[in-house]
Amino acid sequence: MRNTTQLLITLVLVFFGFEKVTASENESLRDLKYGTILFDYYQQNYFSALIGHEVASSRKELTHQINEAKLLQGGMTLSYGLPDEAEKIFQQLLVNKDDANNDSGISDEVKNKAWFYLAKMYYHKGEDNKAAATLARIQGDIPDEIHKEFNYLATLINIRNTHLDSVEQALGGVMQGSIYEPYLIFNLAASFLARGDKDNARTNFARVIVYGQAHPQDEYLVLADRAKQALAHIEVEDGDLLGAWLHLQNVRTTGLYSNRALLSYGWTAIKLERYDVAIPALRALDQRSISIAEVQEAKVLLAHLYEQQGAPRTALKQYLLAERAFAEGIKSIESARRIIDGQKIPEEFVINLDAMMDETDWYGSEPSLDYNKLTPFLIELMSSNAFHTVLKELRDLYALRENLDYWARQAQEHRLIIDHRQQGWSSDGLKKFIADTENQKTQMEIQISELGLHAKTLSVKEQYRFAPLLDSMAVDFEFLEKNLNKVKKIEKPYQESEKNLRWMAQLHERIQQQLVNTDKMIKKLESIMRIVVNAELDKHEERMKYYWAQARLGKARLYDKTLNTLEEDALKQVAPQ
Amino acid sequence: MTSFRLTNSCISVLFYLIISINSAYANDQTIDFSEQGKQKTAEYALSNVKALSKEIQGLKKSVVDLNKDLQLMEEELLFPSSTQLSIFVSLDIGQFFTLESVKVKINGKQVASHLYSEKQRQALARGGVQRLYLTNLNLGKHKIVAFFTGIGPNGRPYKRASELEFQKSKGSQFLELAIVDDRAKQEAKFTIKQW
Repeated sequence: MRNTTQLLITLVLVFFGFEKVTASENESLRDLKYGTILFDYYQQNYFSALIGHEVASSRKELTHQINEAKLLQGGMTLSYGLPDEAEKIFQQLLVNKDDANNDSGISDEVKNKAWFYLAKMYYHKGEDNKAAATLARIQGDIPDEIHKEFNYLATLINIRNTHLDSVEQALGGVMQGSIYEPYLIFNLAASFLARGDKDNARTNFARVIVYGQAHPQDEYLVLADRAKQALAHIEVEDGDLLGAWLHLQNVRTTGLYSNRALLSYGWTAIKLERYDVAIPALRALDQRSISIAEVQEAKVLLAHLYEQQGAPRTALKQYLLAERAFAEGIKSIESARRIIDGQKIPEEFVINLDAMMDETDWYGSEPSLDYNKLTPFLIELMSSNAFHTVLKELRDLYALRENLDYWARQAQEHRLIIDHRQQGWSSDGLKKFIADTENQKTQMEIQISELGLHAKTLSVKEQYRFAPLLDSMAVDFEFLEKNLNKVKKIEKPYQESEKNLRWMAQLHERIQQQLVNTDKMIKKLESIMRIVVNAELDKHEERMKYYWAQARLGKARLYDKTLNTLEEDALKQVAPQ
Repeated sequence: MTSFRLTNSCISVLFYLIISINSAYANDQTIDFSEQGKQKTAEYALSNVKALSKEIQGLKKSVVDLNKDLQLMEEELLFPSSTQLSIFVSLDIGQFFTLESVKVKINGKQVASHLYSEKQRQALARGGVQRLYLTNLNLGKHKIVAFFTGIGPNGRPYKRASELEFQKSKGSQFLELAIVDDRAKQEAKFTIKQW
């Protein structure tokens, strides 16, 4: 089964490498309501888009693009973090409709997209075989929008299933020149390394470095740095320190991975007894934030190196500076703890989540870090998938609470409108309104006829002046009379139906229930987040205290040595006498 | 923005090798800088998230359902179909015009205006349709005027207006302010379409 699937994927990859894709890029607009859902969807407002879809569906407004809308619903549901529900939707779309005899009207394009997203979802869930089998069900033309991603996914699945020959074939064919190429090569190299095939791992890591040189964008350079460190590791394992050192020399000294590289470089140089070149690397680290584990180690190591080189005064100074830095570091951890324990802090993290994550993925996977924006102590933690899931879920829950708060405010307005309508349109109120207006009408009739009589007593010239005024008054009066007659005809004033009022009351109650549920869930997740963050801070604190103790020991050792030297000198001076 | 990532297994392999690169030299890396108990609590807490995930999915779904019902109820309460008028904005291609804002007047009175963000412009250009305004209107004749401002061909500021006299009849009514590229004239065409 596995081999068949692998073959199918390979064949499909080769096939699509030559196939011209004919699907148009833009959705054609045939339905206003469908367009409004797309408007939210394209802005990644999946929650609003889903609601829009539900409203339009319940009114049966999505009459033209039913299958497209269903596919979109699946995508939105998945993006909104409801994978179980999304799976059901995709399966509903595909069930029976995959049968060739069933003329369900579903186009190949929609069908293929549904299979693709389903496969991608399985892949992210870690169900690789299921993902491969699902992907293999794609037939015919592949929609242009997913063409590259399809090839990428197929290659990733092959890597995970260790079908590395197929991966190499894809890299030499359909994936060549693709923006995904260097990532696939890297993944392939790591897979070779995991299998103990160091030669192939070396070759592929080297390809990543070459790619970085040919495409000097930051993301590829970062990847090349990682490849260089991986190569250094292989050389160290093989006992070739010089080879490792050469690779580490080429890692950039800035960026997220530079700390580890500088420390490794320093250690390799020490092992090669090249202390003169180890010191600059460690000094570069020494300038960086104390919250970084490598910096903590470098501070003590640098002092120790000075000590070994017979420079006790420089070593002592370095130990003293390190001690001061560790004291400050411990203070920073304490203040980080206070911030984390504050009422609002998890929300702060969640607000910054977009800066940590790339925005366009159907299924949230690994985060990509924004190094500068994160609390330095939590960098490692932020790259953990589980912690990231907590943040993502919390973000959605905060959004739900905001939404429910909005509806709770709206509920008050709904009640106000209904109360006003009930008061303003009671039968008694209507009767009183008609009686008052009739009185006013009679008074006005008398005043108008008096004015008419008075006008007749005026001169002809004056009568001529007043005539248009009287005419317009008559028109206005007629308008009033007509409207009054209309109101009189109302037998019973309009009232909201009892059914609607009950419906409204039920919905208002549901808002309160969901608010309670959401708050409960937020509390649970916030508590998890605090536990995890505090555990991470504990780790930092202990590490820092360990190196701080090392620095103190080093300092004590040097003081001791100095005292001994002074004593020896003093004894030497006393001895000749 | 498109993102590319390393697979989980590759990240763990890489993480392992980067950690072990130093452990090959020094003993410091093998020190467990944490109380094991606390770390286990943290790991246990994170594993609980998976269990909570089902509950969260259920909650999300019920809030979506509630929102649907509330929207339906509110529209019925505030905008009954007999008097309802919806105004939409759509953009076809948008090669000759970059939409910046729209202003709408009904019977001489300004009722809606909107300033577009880049994200919204992109969403419109890809086939999205914006519901700009929802209101109640008496039966009978009405006049709508829409003003579009933005950047026209050659990067020049561009302002156009379009108007329509329409009859509001019983039942919900929809008007679409459509901006369409006119390839023959190499400029955008602004129309108001009655659905």
